[in-house]
Parts: sequence; C-alpha cells; structure tokens
Amino acid sequence: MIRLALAHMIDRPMPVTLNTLLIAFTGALLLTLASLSTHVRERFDRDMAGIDLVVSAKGSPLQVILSSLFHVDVPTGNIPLEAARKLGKDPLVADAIPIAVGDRFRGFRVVGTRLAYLSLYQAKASTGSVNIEEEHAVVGAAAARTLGISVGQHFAVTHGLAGDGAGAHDAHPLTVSAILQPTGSVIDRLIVTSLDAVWDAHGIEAEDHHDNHEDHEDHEDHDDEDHASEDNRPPEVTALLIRYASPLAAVQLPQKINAQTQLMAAVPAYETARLLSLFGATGDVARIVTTALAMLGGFAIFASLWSALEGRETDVALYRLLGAQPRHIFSLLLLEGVLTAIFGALCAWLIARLCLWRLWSGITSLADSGFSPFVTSPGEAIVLIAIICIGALAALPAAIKAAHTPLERALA
Amino acid sequence: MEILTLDHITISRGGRSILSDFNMQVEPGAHHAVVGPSGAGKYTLLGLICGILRPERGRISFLGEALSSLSAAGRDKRRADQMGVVFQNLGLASALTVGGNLALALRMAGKQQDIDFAHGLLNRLGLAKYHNAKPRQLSRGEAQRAAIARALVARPKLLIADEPTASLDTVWRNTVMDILFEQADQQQLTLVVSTHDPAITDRFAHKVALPQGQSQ
Repeated sequence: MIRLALAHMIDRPMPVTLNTLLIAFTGALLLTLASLSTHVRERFDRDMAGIDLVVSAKGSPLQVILSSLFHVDVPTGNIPLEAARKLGKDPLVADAIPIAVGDRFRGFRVVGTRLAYLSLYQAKASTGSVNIEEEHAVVGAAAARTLGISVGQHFAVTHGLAGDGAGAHDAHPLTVSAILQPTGSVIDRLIVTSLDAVWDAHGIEAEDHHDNHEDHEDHEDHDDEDHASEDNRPPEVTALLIRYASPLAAVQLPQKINAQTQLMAAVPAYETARLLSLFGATGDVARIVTTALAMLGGFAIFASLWSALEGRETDVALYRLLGAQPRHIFSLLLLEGVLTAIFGALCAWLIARLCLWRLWSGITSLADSGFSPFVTSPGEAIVLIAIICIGALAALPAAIKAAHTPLERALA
Repeated sequence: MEILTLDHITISRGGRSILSDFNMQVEPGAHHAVVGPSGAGKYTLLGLICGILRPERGRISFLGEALSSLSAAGRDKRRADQMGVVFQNLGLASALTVGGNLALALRMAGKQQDIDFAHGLLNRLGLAKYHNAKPRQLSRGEAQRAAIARALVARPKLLIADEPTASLDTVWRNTVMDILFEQADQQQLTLVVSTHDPAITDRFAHKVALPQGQSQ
C-alpha cells in the first residue's frame, strides 16, 4: 500500500513537491517559533530557580523581578538587612537569600550574596574552587568568556549598573576564585561575591558592627574617602529571594509583607506571566499567520488530491477490478495525504533546525542563554503531529469520494 | 462440472433491458467467444461474470459457489484470486511501470512473484524492454498487450476479456490469441472473450451470440 501510494506521488512530482515545500516552510516557521517560545519559558523558569517571592523596596513589582531575578533592570531601592533577617525567620519562609546589586565590572553585574545563591542555579566551578568570602568572587561562564578573566585575577568593580565606569572601588579589588560552568541561566552573566565584599566596597561595616557607613543609595561619584564621612548607615540588601515553607505561605506571606510600609513582595510567577503576555502578543500574531499558512498547505493537499482523483478514476477502477476493496482505496488516498504531510513535516523539522542553528551561531546571547538548536521541545512534537493530522484531514474528502465510487460507474 | 454457470439471468441498465432470462454454461478450460452487435450486452455479460454487476434475477455460479449472492467484498476476492480481467478502458495503472502492474496483479491475487513466468509473458508479447516503462510511454497496442500480460500473470482459472485485440495489428492479434489459447491449454485456463472480429471468433470452439433482441 505504501509503495503504491509512493508510486502515485512520484507519478505527479510537481504538485507533490510544491505541497511538500509549502508544508515544509510553514511548518518550519511554526517549529522555530515553538522552539524559541519553549526556550524563553524554560529560560525564565531556570532564572526563577524555584524562587516563590522576591522582597524588596517598594516600587514596581515587575521592575523588582527584572532587576533581582533576571538582572536586566535597576533595583527599586534597598531594604534594611535587619528587616530581611527578621523575614527570613518567619515560619512561612523555607529559604531566604539576600542579594545586593548595584555594582558592575565591565558591563557585568556584581551580586553580593551567600553561597546558597549559587546552589539555586546548581552552579559548579569549571576552574578554580568556589569561594566568595574575603573579597573573592566567582564569575559566570558567559561573563568569564567575554571578560577573558581567569582564576586568581584581581579586578575592581564599578559603582552603578550603567554609565562609563566612574567610581571604581579600586581599594577593594575582588579576586576570582572560580569560573563557573555554564548553566543556561542568568548566573552565567553574573559575578558573584559575598555581601560583606559589597558592603566593604561601599564602606559599610558588615552585619553586627555597622557604624561609619556610607549612604549608597546614590552610587555615582563617590570614593572610599567618602565612606569615612558617612556614618551610622545600617547594612542593606537589594532584595530577599524567598522560597515558601508551605503552600499556605503563597496566600499569607505577600499580604503580610505588603502590609509593612518598608517592604514590597513581588511574585515572580505572576510578573513573568505578565511579561510573557506582553511579548506573547507578537508571538501569537506570528503563530496565527503561520498556522493559517499551514492550513493553506493542507488545503493545497486537498486541492491536489481532489484534482488528481479526477484523472485517476480509471486507476481506482482498475484497482477495484483487481480485487481492491473500498477500504483499500480509502487507505491509499489517505496515505498519500499523510505521506505528503510526513515528508513536509520532516523537511520542516530540518529547515527549522537549520534556522535555529543559524540563529544560535549568529546571536551570542542566544547561545549564552543555554539555547541548543538541536534539542526538540514537546511543543515541536505537537506541531509535527498537527501537520500530519492536517495532511490526513486534507486527504479525507478525496479518499471518501474515491472509496464510494461504485466500480460499476467507473467502468461505464 | 461447469466452472461457470449463468441461470436465467435478467439485468437492465439505465432503464433498458440488457439480458433477459439468459443462460450460459462454461466447462473448465473451454473457450467461449461472446459475439453480438454493439449494445447487445457483451460488456454487461462480462461485468456479471466477473462480479462487478449483480443480476436482477437469476443465479451466477463460479467454481460451484453462488457468485451473485456473495457480498461485494466476497466477489472482489474471487475476482482477485481466480480471474484475470481485461477491459478496454481499464488496462494498466498509470502510476506503475509495466513490471509494477504485473507485480500488483500478483499481490492482489495473493500469489508469489513468478519472475520467470512474468518475463516470459512480456517477452512473448514483445514487451521485455518495457518492463520499467510507464503506461504513458507505451503505444495503444503495447498497452493492450501489457494489460493481457497483467491479466495472465497470476495464472487465473478464468480469463474474461473485452475486445482484447481491438488495438492490435494482424500480426500481434494472432500472436496474442496464440498465447491465450496456449495458456488455456497449459494452465487449464477458461476463456470468455468478447469480440467483433470474425477471424478471432472463428478460433473459438464455443460462441455465445447476443442478438440485438437481448438488449431490447
């Protein structure tokens, strides 16, 4: 049966090739969109690293998530370490990891935190040994590659998350203790050190002996000498990354935190969904257009098989004369549609892989984000199955017509 | 015992009576020529015998089985397994090569590929070089000979042919008929062939004449 269906397809190469190409290109667009969309969602999930809640200074919740989880925006401000500590001891909190951001080194953000932050992203050293204490830092894989930095190297971080590098903490250089393995998450682009190192750079006495600190809400244009002149500033952190101790916390904790005047709770899952819905509109339009094109491909199969059937009534009658039953004829026609769709789907998959590979090799940030053009996502499998179903559906009318044509009439 | 029996067959098509109370008995290995003017019902008779058409009245038996009471699927199977059929307008499957058409006929009959026999037939019919040719590459006469090869390749018990030599020149017409009679003798093949050609008709031992009256 398959050989006979293939023979029929080979016998009319032009319409079959055109239909296959139409399906292949529209399918490739859908597959590329599905792959990139899956990657974006997976990337968001990886960057969120199971964080249920981010607590920071009051401001825009989306800005908090962007700045504290994805490290692409400026923080809304700082919160007192004491308030963060108190919150960390709440029975509704399983884990609370403080982060202090606001400095950078040659464009890459420096995050002051605890070792637990590295565990969030399963970050392991590729070279060196992980140590962020005593003014040591670990460098993410993408950052290390771009910076050309190596273990043992010293560097001075710069104040602020943007600008031309003014206000370097030359007196508090950090030493690279390890380069991290790539994780496909935001940590690949970060430099991670201890909270103490960040506070030291800003002249703030760490934790329990905080006197003679600088006010570092304004990070521009100050140097170490300024620190000595700014006293009585308690240690602060930018945000507190929280994991809930129980599902009940999801209901109670954000309300409890937001009730405090100093703090704001932002839920990453909610804010990310909001963000994706903003990006999603463009993706949806592209998806609708390509789906319409795929449907057009299906219609082309239908038109092709239907018109081919007109000239093939004699063949169908001959098969019936040789003993083929209506169900055989039905299967034969259906198989032609399905095989056309399968070939189209295979070509679509290959074209999509080629497009994704081109994007991957051409856009460094995509490669750095952990994207692999050779990984097929479940969304792509659904697209491939849908293409084959379209082929079957498109062939159905011609298959039914052929199967129900009486042999007697075909002979007349 | 007859291989084929038609008892009191009545059939009309398009509101026109084609056969009325028609009877016919065919012995195994017998050669029957169905003759008559155009519209006499030759085509309808062959359609009844191969199970494409069902009579309104009467009974058709093939190999002792009531063909006319079988389901469409049952008649399709008997035709595939035991009959070789050549109709003028249904020669070869256009998408398949000549060899592919022969292979398909064998497959539909549920029989093993017999390459030597198939090649022998094509050779005798002057088609050896067209084994891999598509029907559109053949002349009308070549296509008709290929259709005869396709009908014979599964070694049927009964060959039903509608004007099998209509497109052939005299030489090939005689060659084809020689092959048919030779196969009939060697394989105990029963022939039921409709023809207008008196030269062909004369070679058949039995003649079934369908007078114009049958179709009125």
